[in-house]
This record gives sequence, structure tokens and C-alpha cells, in this order.
Amino acid sequence: MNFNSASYLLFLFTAAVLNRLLPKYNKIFILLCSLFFLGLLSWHVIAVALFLTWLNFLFCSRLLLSSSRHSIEYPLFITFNVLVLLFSNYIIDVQWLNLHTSIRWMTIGTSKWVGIFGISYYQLQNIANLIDARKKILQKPAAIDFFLHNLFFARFVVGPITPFRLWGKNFISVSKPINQIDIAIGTQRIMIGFLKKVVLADRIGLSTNIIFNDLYSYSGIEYLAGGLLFTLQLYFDFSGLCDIAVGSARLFGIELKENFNLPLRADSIAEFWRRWHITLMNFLNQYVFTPLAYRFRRMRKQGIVIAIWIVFAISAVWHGISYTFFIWAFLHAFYLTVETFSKQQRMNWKKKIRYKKVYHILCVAVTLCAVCFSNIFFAIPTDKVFHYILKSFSSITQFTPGSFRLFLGGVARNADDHGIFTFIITIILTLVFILVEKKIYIFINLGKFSVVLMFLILLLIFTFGIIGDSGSFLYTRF
Amino acid sequence: MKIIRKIILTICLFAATLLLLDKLYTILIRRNCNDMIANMPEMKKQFSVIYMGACQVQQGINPAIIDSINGFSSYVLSENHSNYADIFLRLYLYLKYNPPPKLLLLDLMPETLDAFDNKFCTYRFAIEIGDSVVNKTVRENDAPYLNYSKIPFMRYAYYSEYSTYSAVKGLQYIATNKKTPTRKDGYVPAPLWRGQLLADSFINENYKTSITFKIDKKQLHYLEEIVNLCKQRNIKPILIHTPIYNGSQIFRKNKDVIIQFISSYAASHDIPFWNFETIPLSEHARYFNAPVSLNAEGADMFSYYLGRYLFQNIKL
Repeated sequence: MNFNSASYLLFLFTAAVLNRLLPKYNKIFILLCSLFFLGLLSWHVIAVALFLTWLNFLFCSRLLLSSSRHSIEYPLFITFNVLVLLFSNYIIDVQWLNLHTSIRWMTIGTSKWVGIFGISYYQLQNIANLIDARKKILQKPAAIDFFLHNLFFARFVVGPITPFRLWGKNFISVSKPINQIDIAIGTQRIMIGFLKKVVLADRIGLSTNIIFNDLYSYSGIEYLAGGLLFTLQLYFDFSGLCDIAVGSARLFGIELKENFNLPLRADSIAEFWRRWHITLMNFLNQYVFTPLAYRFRRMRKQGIVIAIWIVFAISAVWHGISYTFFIWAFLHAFYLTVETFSKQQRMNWKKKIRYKKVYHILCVAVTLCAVCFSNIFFAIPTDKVFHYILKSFSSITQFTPGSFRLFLGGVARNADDHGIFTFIITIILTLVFILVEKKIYIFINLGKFSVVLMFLILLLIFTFGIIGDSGSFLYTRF
Repeated sequence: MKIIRKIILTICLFAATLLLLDKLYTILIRRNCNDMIANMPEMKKQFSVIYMGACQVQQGINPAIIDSINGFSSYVLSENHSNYADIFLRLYLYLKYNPPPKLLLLDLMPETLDAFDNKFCTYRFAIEIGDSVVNKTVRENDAPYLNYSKIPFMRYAYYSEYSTYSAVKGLQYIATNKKTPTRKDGYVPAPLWRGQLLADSFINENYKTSITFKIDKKQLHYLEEIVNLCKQRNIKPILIHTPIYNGSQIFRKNKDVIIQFISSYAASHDIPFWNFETIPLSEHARYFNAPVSLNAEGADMFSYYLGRYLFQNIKL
């Protein structure tokens, strides 16, 4: 059951209404709903999720009771979870390696459901809980709370990653009657998520799919435009998914952490990573970067840079088995290295410069270009990556103003009127949304409800949304 | 609760809007004279010959040239990416609103019998949802769409990428009072492919391995439906194989087996099968957009060839 399906909405609103009718048994009811949701993916998922959750509950309890800091249990538990993560994350890709028939048979049979544990952020959360338990910053959890936190349907597949210790408030609020603010925020966030997915991401996807699946037909400038479009698509797709998750949780009185904070307006790569996939970056920052930076503290800036490179190498491994992810990670690590060493210089410029707004806009543009370039490596098929690089740079100068219609046609799939109409509408909708996005979020998060806003969103979804051909969410690929 | 009242108000308002939108889109799309299906009730013209198929026919047969040779009044009732379910439904709707032609030339080749290349484009028939034959065919080919189409406006919203464009075009034609389609005979010359890509480079990029064609049962079923419809309405069907670029033949692994099948199918139904696969123009890449579709120059040459062939073999 996809988040962007009518069946999910039906499931969600039925569950939310029933949850309201059963005030004494909220936790058990939500847990049962979560198991039902997982069961729709596959019954294997229920079995494995319950087993892993139970195992991690035991691990955490054991670590909380243990007084020795040098016990062998801690590395064993961590290793176990890392192995589960790697196994589940890579098993889909193993088919690609064309391994022995018996192994391929196993992967074909299991990849559909095993992969869920690799993309679900579920294991990262378990690892975070174990680290917290070892540091004794985790209070001994009640079993029902631990299971509810680990298996809650709205965040099981997509996150956001939230360690158990940060969920304390939700265990209390989930038992309280849901209030008007929760309903207003929940429904509007879900609608915004749908808008981002079916109107913006999927429409942009019409162009990016064509460009990146048909490399031989397009020139370098179109690839670069494709990189920009793919970044927008990825943002709307993933943040739309997170909006639906946040909104769904809110209908049960649960507040999930935000994963995005207007990342397209970041004026540096460091700032970008504070705004994009926030919970993953918080996880990596807290459990990998900070300990490493502390360990390398005597090396000063070089130490920070080493920590950055290790963090992005881990991020690349987490995203999948393709070397394109390493190129992407390399680029970001490189960007951050440059930023680290030029920080003082940039601050001096900023002080001296007269038109601060212009400087800020320039920084946002440069950051966006750098991000778009790196995201191209997310978009293009692995076997065509070098073909792309060579062609994009060799043909970038072929673009002339006279070929504008062809260029537009290329990005818009076809140079016919329909293709251009579709593309122009997509660009207008995207630009308007980016301009008003901040105001919409401020309005919604205040708990206000606007009939006009909801009406407009519904109208856009029904008249411009890709409903019939809406694909699965992009981030479930990684 | 105030918020819940507001949510209910939004839902009610929007439900009413959907009913209005459904009516509005129907009016606008009907006025889009370039929408082949929507324009059928307005055609009101007796065509003696109709050409049907996918893009090979839409872009490969120029009726003006054939008509100038034979004195026919012919029409290309084809759109790209159409499989036989799509073709059957288009023929059915054409016959629903217009008098039957005397002759139907239907493109049939290994590529079109395979389910891989073409598809059923449900959005084209949105405006005719409600007709029992349309509903049946849509159910067989795109069941989720038919289920959703019971909700007001969903028949357009489901594939809004196409229907909104068609409605906007209708609005434009109302504003400009345009009532005749851009292509009166249905022929659409192939667009200038990006960078004038020729069949050879297309093959280099796409035909990495040989293609083994499979006969799709569903395609065969709708082919049968088309033949039956022709019989019911006294239309003489002729099966044709449009030209294929010779350079791509080595990749069409089992094409002879499929062509043999088509020949025996045609013989068993007493339908002529004209194979233009390897006529002289098929040796030159410059007449092709892709291995199976002609460019505008190739279409004119093939139309002349077909026109002469019709002249020699058919008397209407």
C-alpha cells in the first residue's frame, strides 16, 4: 500500500476515527494498525519486524542493566544490527551482480520484503537506541512503548529517524483525546504531501525520466537542466512523503520530527545538510561525525574533514551498492571540505560586501547548482554514468539561442505543444509553490485550517496531478 | 468541532466542484477539434477508405497522395502507441457516429502483435465512458481506471496530464472559434526528430540484442474483434505490413515465423495481407525516423507506392 494511494487514505482515516473511539486502548490499537499495514506489504514483514523489535528490546534492556562499559555484548548487538541493515539494504542489488542461480533464486523470492528493512531507517533507529542504552541516556522502556515506537506504520518505511529517547512526549499524547490542532495539521500536511508528490514530483518526473533514460538523444545543457529538475523532483517526492508521514502521525496525536526545512533556500552546502533529510543527518552527526571529530580534534580542520569524508562514505554505502552513490558522496564531501577551509575567507567577504541580499541569492544559486550537479549521479543509470559525463561536457557548447524550442522540447519530453504545455505548467506550479511554501508551512504549523487553501490544493491535485500513472516514491529506491 | 466542520465544508464544496468540472471538461474537450475521439460526432463525413494502426500508420500514410491517385476520400484513423484494443475502440466509436467506410487498411506486423511496443491509451476514451462497449474494453485493459471513473470527474482527473491539456485546447478553440481539425485527413507527418536522428543511430543505441517477438493473446483477441466489426458493417479489411528499415532486420529474430502466422491468419479469415516490409525505400535509412516508422519524406514515397498498389488491386 503506497502512501500516495486512495487505499492508504481510506486505511488512515478509518484507523484515526476508530482510534478516537477507543481512548483507553490507543497504544495497542495503533500497534495493531501498524501490524496490519506491514501485513499488507507482506506477512514476512510482520514476522521479521516483530522478531527484530523484540530482539532489540532485549538488547536495550540488557545494556541498561549492564554495569560494565567493556562488555562484549555491546559490539555484538551493534554488529548484528549493522549486518541486518547491510543484508537488507543490499539484497535487492545482489541480483544485479548476476550471482549463482541459487542465490539469485533466494533474492528474487525475498527482495520484495527484506529490502524494506534496509530502506526503512528502522535499523538506524535500533542502532541509535543501543548506543543510547549503553550511554545510559535511555530510560528503561515499557515493551508496548518500544514496539509502538519501532513499528509505527507512518514512519516505518520512510522515517523520520527518531531514537526512542526522543519519543517520550508521544507516549503520553497518544493516550489523550486528539485535539483540533492535530486534526488541522494532520489533514493539511497530508494534502500538502499529496500535492508535492502527484502534482509537482510526478510531473517533473515525466521530463527527468525521459532525459535520463534516453541519454543519447540529449545534449549536455539538457542533462544539466535534467539535474536541476531531478533535484526538484527528489525534494518534492521525498518531502511530500515525509509530509504524509508527519500528517498521518498527527492524526493519532503523534508528533514526528521534521525531515526538511526549505533546503532549496540554503546558502551553503553545510546549511543544505542542516535542512535536507534532517533526521538522517542528525543521526550521522550525533553517532558518527561528533565522535570522530572529537577523536581527531588534535588535527583541527583536517580532523573535521576526515570525519566529513567518513560520514559521506557511510551515507553512500547506506544508499546502495552503486558506485554512483560514491561519486555523489565524494562531491558533497569535497564541497564541505572546500567550505571548511574557506569559512574564514567567506565570512570576510560577507562583511565587506555591500549588497548582502544579492550575495545571499548568489550563494543560494551556487549551492543549488552544486547540489543539482551531484544529484545527477542519483538519477542516471549506473552503466551510463561515464557516457553522460563525457557527452555533457563535450556538447555543452552546442546550445544556441535558436535551439531554444528544441531544448525546451527535450526537457519537456516532446517538442510538440502538449509537451511544452505540460512542462510550462509544471514549471509555473513549481515556482509558485517554492515562493509560497514557507508561508503555507507557517500557517499550517500554527494549527489553523483554511478552507480556501485546502480547496485549491484539491483542485490542483485533481486537475494537474498525475493520479493514474503516479509511481512509487523515489526514496524507496535507496 | 470547528475544524471538523471546516473539513466537511471543504469536502462538500469540492464534491460539488467535481460535478461541475466534469461537465465543463466534457464541453471543452468536445470543442477540441484536434482530439480525434472527441471530434468523432462532429466529423459527419463519408470516407471510403480508413487506415488504422499505431504511429507507423499515423505518420507513414499520407491520404492526400493516395486520394490523388485513386480518387478516394480516405482518412488516417490512427494515433501513436495504439494497440489493437485501442484501435478496436476507436473504430467502434467512429462507426457509432459516422457511416462505415468501404475499405479498412489495418497495419499488422510482428511489432504490433507483441504487447511490448504499443498500449491501450485509456485517457483517449475518457469522454466516452458510459458507453457499454467502451466500459467493457476499458475494464479489460485498465480496470482501476474504470473503478475510479465512477467518482465524478475522476474519468478526467485520473489521466489529467492529457485531459487538462485537451480541455485547455478546447477553450482555446472556443475563443478562436476554430471548428476544423489541423489535420483534416488524420495524417500527422513525423516530427523532426531531435538532431535528425536517423534509423542507424537509433539501432546502435537501442538494438543491443536481437528481438524475439511474442504474439500477445489479448492483441489477437482485439484483432478478431476488429475483423468481426468489419464483417458486421460490411467493411472490407486488408492487412498491411508497413515498411521496415532493412538495417534493423537482422535484429528481428523470429519475424519470419510471425509473418507466416499473419499470412495464415489472413488466409483463414479470407482477408488479403499486403506485405510492404521490404519495398525499395526500406533500404535507405534517410526515409526513416526509427526502424519501424517513416519520416515525412518516406511517408510520401510509401503513400505513392501504396496508392499505386491500391489502384492496381482495388476498385471501390
